[in-house]
Amino acid sequence: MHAKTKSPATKMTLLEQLDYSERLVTETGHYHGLKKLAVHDADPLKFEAFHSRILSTIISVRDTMKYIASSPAIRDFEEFVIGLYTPEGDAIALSTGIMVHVHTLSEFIKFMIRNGYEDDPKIRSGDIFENNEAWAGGVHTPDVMTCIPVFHGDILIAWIGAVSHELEAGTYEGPGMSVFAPDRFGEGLHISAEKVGENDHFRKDYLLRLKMNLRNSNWWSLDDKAKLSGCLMVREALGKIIDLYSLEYYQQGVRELIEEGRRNFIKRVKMTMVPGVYRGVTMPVHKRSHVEFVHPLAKGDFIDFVHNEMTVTAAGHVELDFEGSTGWSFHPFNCAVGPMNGGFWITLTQLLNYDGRVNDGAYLAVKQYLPEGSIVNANYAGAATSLAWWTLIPIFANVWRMIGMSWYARGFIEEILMSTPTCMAGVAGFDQYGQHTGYQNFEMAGESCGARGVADGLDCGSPIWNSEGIQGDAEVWEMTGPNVYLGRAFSANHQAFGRYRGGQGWQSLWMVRGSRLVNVTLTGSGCQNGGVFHKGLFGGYPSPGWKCLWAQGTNLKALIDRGKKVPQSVNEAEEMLKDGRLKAKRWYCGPLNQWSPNMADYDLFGVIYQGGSGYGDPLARDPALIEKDLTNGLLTKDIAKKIYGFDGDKTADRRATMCQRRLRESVPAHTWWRKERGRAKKGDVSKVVSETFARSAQLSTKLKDLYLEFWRLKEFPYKDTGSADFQVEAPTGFYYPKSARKPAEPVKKPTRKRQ
Amino acid sequence: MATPKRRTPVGKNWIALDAGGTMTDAVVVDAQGQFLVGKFLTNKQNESISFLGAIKDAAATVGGTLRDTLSASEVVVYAGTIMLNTLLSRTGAKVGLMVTQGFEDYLLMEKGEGGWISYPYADRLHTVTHHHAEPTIPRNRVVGVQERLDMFGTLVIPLRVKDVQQKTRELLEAGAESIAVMFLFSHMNPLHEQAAAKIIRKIDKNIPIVLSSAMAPTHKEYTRLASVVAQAYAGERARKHFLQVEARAREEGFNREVSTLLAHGGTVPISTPRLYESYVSGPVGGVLGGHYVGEVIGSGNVVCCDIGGTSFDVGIIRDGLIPIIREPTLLSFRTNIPMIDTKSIGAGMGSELGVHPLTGKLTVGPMSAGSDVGRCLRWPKTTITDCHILLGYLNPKYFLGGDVQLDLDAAIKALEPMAKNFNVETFEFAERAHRLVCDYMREFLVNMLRGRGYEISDYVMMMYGGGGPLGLTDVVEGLEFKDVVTFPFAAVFSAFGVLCAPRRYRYHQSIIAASPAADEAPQRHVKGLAIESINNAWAQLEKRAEDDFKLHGWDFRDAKLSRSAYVRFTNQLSDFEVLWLGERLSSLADLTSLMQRFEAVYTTIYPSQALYSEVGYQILEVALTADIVTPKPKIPELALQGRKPNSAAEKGTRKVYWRGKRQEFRVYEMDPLTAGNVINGPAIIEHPATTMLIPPGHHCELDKRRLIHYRSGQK
Repeated sequence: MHAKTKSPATKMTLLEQLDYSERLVTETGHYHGLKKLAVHDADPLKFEAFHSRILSTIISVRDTMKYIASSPAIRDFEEFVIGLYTPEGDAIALSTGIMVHVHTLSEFIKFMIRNGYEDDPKIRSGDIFENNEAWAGGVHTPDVMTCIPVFHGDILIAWIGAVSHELEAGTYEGPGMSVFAPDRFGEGLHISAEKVGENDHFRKDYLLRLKMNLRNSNWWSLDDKAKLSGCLMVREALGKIIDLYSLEYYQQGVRELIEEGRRNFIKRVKMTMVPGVYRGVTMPVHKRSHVEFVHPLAKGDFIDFVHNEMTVTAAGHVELDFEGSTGWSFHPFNCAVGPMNGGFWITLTQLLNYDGRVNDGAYLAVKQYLPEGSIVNANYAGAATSLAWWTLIPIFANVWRMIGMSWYARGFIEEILMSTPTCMAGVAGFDQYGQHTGYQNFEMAGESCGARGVADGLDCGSPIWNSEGIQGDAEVWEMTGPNVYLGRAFSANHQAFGRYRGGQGWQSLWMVRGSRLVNVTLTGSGCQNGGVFHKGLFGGYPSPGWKCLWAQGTNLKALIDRGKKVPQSVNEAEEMLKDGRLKAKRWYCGPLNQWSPNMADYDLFGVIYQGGSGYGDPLARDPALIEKDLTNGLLTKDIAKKIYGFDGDKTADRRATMCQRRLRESVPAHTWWRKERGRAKKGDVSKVVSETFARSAQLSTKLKDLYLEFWRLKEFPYKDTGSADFQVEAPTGFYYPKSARKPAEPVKKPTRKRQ
Repeated sequence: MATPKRRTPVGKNWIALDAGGTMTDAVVVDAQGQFLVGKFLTNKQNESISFLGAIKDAAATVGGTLRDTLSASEVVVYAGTIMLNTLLSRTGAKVGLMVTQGFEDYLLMEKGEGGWISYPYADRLHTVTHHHAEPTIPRNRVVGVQERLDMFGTLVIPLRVKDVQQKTRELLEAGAESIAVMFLFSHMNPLHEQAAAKIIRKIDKNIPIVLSSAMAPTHKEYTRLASVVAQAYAGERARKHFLQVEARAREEGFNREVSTLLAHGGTVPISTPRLYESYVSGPVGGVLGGHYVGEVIGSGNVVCCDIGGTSFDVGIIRDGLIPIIREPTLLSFRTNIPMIDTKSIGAGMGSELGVHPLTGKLTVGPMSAGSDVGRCLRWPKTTITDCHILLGYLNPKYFLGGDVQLDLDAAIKALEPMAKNFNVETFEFAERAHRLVCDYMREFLVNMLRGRGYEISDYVMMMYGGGGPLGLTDVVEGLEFKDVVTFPFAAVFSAFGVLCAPRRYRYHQSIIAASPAADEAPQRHVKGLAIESINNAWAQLEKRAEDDFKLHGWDFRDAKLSRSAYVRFTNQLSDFEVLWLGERLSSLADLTSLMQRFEAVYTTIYPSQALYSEVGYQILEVALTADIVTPKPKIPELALQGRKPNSAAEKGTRKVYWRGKRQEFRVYEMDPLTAGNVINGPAIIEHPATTMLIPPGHHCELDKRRLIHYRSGQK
């Protein structure tokens, strides 16, 4: 029953195979030109068994390999993934985990092929390649990919790759993700698509390099060992699968799996979404002018404006167009093609492509148009992407929201899931073992989710970037670094109100313990306004935002010795600092990115995580849900009254009054438009907003055109970008992943009858 | 109170009961090794009813009475769902929970992972489906008190006495009937928890107090919390149910104490102080049975496979060791109950078949029809059992011994449109669906073995459960096991396994100890401290064991102790149990040898590339098991009766669809088959509770113990 394919692939170089495969997609619209799924159709049940065998192998290997790892990120936070790829680098099947990397590994493999690695440094059996380089498809320095080729005789038949998120990457500040680096030279150790091992062993020089360039190389090294072992285990299992099914069946079968993935994705889009253009914007605000120690290039306040159009085509394709966005800058929040692919994949796997076939097939039915030089496609060779997530999270929050609207229109309300922003605490310095350390406390992986179309967001759920949310045990984190938790609990009223509210924000407060020198970085996605741009839907509130605290030179020891109350939350610590019960030489509490001064035992730091966005009008909220929140201490009575109109028996009356007040305070849209038009014409906005508009116009007329059209104006009032006006050339001399090219003119696509 | 030493099993029955969600199975083994088997629908409201019902059913098979059977019984072990049902039915105690200040929301948070921990692949990705369970202790009965110890157990913030006093009163006012206490790092130093207990005791002389440091002093507060909550919430309620079962048994003539099975596979009297350990997820009885049968036939490596209606469960015994996991899932929490490691997938012989509305793929499970069987009886959806009826694997007129009549036409009607959907003929579809389910099981089993680095040919496979003998042939296809064994009593093998369990307690204790790679004076000093710390922890655990033995009136001098340490490479987050055969570590050389044993365990699982000896080792937990050697049920050796089954076993022939064509299979009845009989395929062996399929080119042979060996070839 084995299909006899006449693919000439085996005689071609990898580069020729890649070109051939891509040409077939372009010419036919089908993966590898597969208009018919011959192997599948000949015996669908055998084909299912084949897929099940591949997938169960990968899932079980992931489960086994994680016990080798050392990072809490892998062992307890599910922050890794392993997958199988075609010789051309297309994903066939993946374990669960950070699904960001379905396609980033794919780009890494294509990077090696397109840059002639077959000739130099050569791709041989037993080789190990590694990458965390955004130019080679990676997202940011802490996401480290390990990849091995698989040979059958002397033919390369597959790649196996695994990715883990490292808590430490040798950054300037210490933790794995840099907040303040102006460019790539501060974001830590780059492994730029390199051969790091031979004969199934890591090279000694590579391991030494890790030792010398990282604060705690044991984490990275053991995680590397975990990934390599996993790859070797899959390689062995793959041999047995090929023995059973034959090489021809395998080669043809995996291509059909990918083509099926493409078709299934299209089916789901067609079944659940409404074709058309959806428009959204997101505006992460970056304030760093207040930070004491920051590179002059990075010391500024600005808004990254991201304009985002999502087109759902009648053929079931989804396209994202970012034209109109502002340019890259000297900060680590830039995105490139790799990070943008990662962001798209977390969206696809959690919302649209979670069952059936999770592979690169879906990628063939989606497109992203990423303008060169923009924040979503930084083309400066030195651009940093260490915290690309601070841009990706708001961008894809917006995409989730647009998909939610589409589902609403088709009646798939149960599928609607709002997003949640992220913030985090990083620790660097010397730990309780006397060792140099640096790490991000990854408990934000248990952030609360956004609201759903039919229920509240999950309290203590998962962030947008990993569906397997988990905050980990405090006792594990206390063994990781020099601090003790003084509390980890929900923060009352810290919820995005709505008919269904966003998941409740929670907070952690730590006290430094066992260290004479610690600095912490405290940072939120989109900085202090992150919440505002995680909009709610249909009247639901945006995410309530974040807050952080540090206090240096405290009197905490004296309080403890005297048996006084010790703060147990960020809010309580702030209150005590304000009323003088708690004293500190210096302290900060608020929503701005922070890099603390040198701290030591008995100093404090903490974070209130944002919580997810809300859905629907708060006045439509079921009183029983409000009572439950009151009982659980998630809401106070005054806020319940003020926002939800909840007032026991008098709730209905109170709500009616609130509705009337709303109407009284409203004006017709046209009235509002006329009033605001005057401001729009003059450009009467804050300096930072004005500069943002000007920066957008620098790259494209998209936003400008929309602005002039909406306000019916002739002249765009924003000229001054507030930043040096200079261009840089995109890197040359090597291949790197490029954005899809937008069709020059919008072509009206004919509706195809059947896929 | 019976001490095991005085136990005289001669002339006495041993009874084990395994209560599942649907049925309670009873196995009565008499002194001659004769097995009586009974079943009764589990009564979740009052398990004493199903307990007695199942024994009565077993007694009736030889015309005996409940009273005769019970009064002649020496041992009754009741393994079951009391703990689970108490948790699920939310009928536990009104517990007040006292935690470290600032951690009061933990039961609502469920660590985040509670939202998806037991989900399959697609739902894990599909975030919108995640949800938290309602906590067993409402938020208004959770209080925090100011205190902190650090990771070494060193005092950071002293316990505020007035907090404990005030919060205790608040809990009592809120109606708390017992108080559970869980402070951070209490496993490294129980000082604060014990001090809190004293203060609570002063306020209320009688209220039960449960301390996490006394339950299971191991690392990770969420797991300790889950355990302390389980014990406080359900432990004493469960004890009431157990005592009710025991009282009813005594009324019916039983004059000993009833025992129960703990998750790690030991049995203890129901007076055990930590009854929450009787929370058992998965069929651990089968692994105990597999372990024992392995001993009897001389194989230390056994793969135990249980095919039920809903799931397929696997446990692997290596070198005679029953595998233990330390963080099993208890509802939506990981807990720190040491538990026999079984893994399962949601595919069984009663699984539903469906066509995925989007992808058009054939789906199997996770729903199953349970006692409603399939379309052939009264389940609205098509199941694998419908396929079995069509294929002739099952006799529609002999289901449950003929108690239930199945409808072949309904099965055909259900299968025809599905077959059409996949472009195959109905018989072929049914066979392929059956094989697909068996493929899933085989994949799962092989991945478990290979994932641990084990060679299939080193293992004996034991297959049991009601669906075991039917799935056997397709599950083992192509796998070169050393031997494949099933049982005439396959359907109740798990209950039999419970009888094989030793009287055993198991204890774990967290420590901090390191064995650096270098061997200069400073490192030797660290190693010296490690030896001290490991030895002290073992001594501490022995003291706990002695206390528990005293409680049951057992002589601790009879205890068989087994010590182990959990070792990892420095910085690694997972560790591996390494047995230590001596009493204590007496030298640096002993420590080195322990580390070498660790590496040996490690490299059976992982490639040598995963070794990291140069960074040294850490030992963060030790364990102890304390057994009393008790006799096990006899599996008597019988005289071989020759290969040919006697005529009483022969039931004629029937058409069975096998590998593309309908063929004539000989049919036998299981019970009349005797030691030495050989059944050559194609054949079917029927039993009221199970059916065994022997395809052409295969045979099975009943050995001198009536264990059934399945082999390829004809004999």
